Amino acid sequence: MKRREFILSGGAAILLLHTPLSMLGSSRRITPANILLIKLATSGQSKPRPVHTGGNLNLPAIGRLMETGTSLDESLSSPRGIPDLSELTRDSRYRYFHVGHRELPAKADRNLFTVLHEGGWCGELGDQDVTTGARSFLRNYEERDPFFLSVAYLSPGESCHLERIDMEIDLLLQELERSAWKENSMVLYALDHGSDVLEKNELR
Amino acid sequence: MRHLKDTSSEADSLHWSFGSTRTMVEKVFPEGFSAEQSTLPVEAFIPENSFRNSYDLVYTGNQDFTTDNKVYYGYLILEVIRKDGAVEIQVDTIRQLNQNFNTERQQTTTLLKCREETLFPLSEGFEWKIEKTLHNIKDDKAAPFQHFEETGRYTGKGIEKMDARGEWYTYKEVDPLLPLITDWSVLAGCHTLGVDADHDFTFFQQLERYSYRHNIRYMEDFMARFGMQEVAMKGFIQRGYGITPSYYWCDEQGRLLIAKYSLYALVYNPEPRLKTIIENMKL
Repeated sequence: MKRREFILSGGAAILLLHTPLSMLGSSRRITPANILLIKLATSGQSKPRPVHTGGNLNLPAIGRLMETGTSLDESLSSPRGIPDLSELTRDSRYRYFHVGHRELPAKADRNLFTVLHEGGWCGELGDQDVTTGARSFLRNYEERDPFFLSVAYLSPGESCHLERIDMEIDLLLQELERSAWKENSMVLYALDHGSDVLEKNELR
Repeated sequence: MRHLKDTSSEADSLHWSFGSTRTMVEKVFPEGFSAEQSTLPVEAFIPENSFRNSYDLVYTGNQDFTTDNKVYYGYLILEVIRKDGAVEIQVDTIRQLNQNFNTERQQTTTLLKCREETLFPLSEGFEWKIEKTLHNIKDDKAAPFQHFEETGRYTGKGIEKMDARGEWYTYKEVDPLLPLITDWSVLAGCHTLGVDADHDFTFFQQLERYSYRHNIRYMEDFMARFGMQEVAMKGFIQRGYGITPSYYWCDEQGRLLIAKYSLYALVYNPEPRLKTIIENMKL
């Protein structure tokens, strides 16, 4: 399905993104899905460079997300009809959690979210700790309210780092699939600074 | 072979693969190996016996950090115990999160059971428990999520893990023809590599994430000079799925002194800096 068709048809992702907003104040009977937002902040300095893969990236977890999901090849914050995720953080039915690299000043982040931790600057190790935080959340969350869990990885622009991130996402998805939240959760995957990769079709 | 133009000390001679950032050249080595009170090992290393090695985990990215809280991110302590013809590796590591000693830090502990072979591959039938605890949390609402533990086992054909409901599942099938080696085993077992090393294996980082097509091989010898001390070192390079090339440098006795990864390095220190800092913060 093309992006425009998807949006016009009120496809799953958009519906779920819109539901909390449109239902605010009108109905409390619909329980919105839990949301697991996986964000990958690449360095932005360059497109991913093949180091040892010969240019053929093997990213099974990200590939699985893209195969089974719907791709929106536009900025989620662009004024083109795609909802701004920040609106979602004003839906009082959700409980908001964040782990990993932050985009906002620390104080703002901690006002919006319960921050498990802010990841680390040691690349692979920091990102591994982010996965641990998210997995621990999925194992131990016991509230009745739906959760919005933002998981943010910090990855430099080498292609093998995308492979590494893929391993992290694989662990995270396995945890979700074997958790109590499997049936009522939506996974959003967002990549910044990475449009050139998508354009080259390297991630599909 | 390419040598850094030395900017840290007139006496230092560093290999490029140690990490050529200002952080390494102007802070980590001058305050560690090259310092007047050098952190280079003094005691003899006899790898055939049980031993304990400890490391500072330092940032090596290109941000040129120089303050302690942005350079010293953690420590790793590896204790290798010889037991009944096998090898046990006790792991204790802490990573500070964000860039401030006052924010959260994660501690990981586990025990590996390995075969007494090159790079200490995991023993078949070995069952482990890895424990991770988030210390110094800043938000009470994060408290329910500060502890994580996982049980797993290696069958020789696959890696199995126990999920949150207590049920075993196959995490990954592995290549049974290749040894399964953790990153901690590489660090603890560097001394098992010689100058003819060219070793294929499958990689199991932190007992959590499996990747394939890994190889480690001898790179070169290098005579490093840290301050007033010359150290003859042997270098090895690891390549494989999901990593940038990683470098391991051992001294003549086989003790690992430096492991350099993409954005961090482990640098030998008998008294890791962050351990001392944390202990002082508790006072």
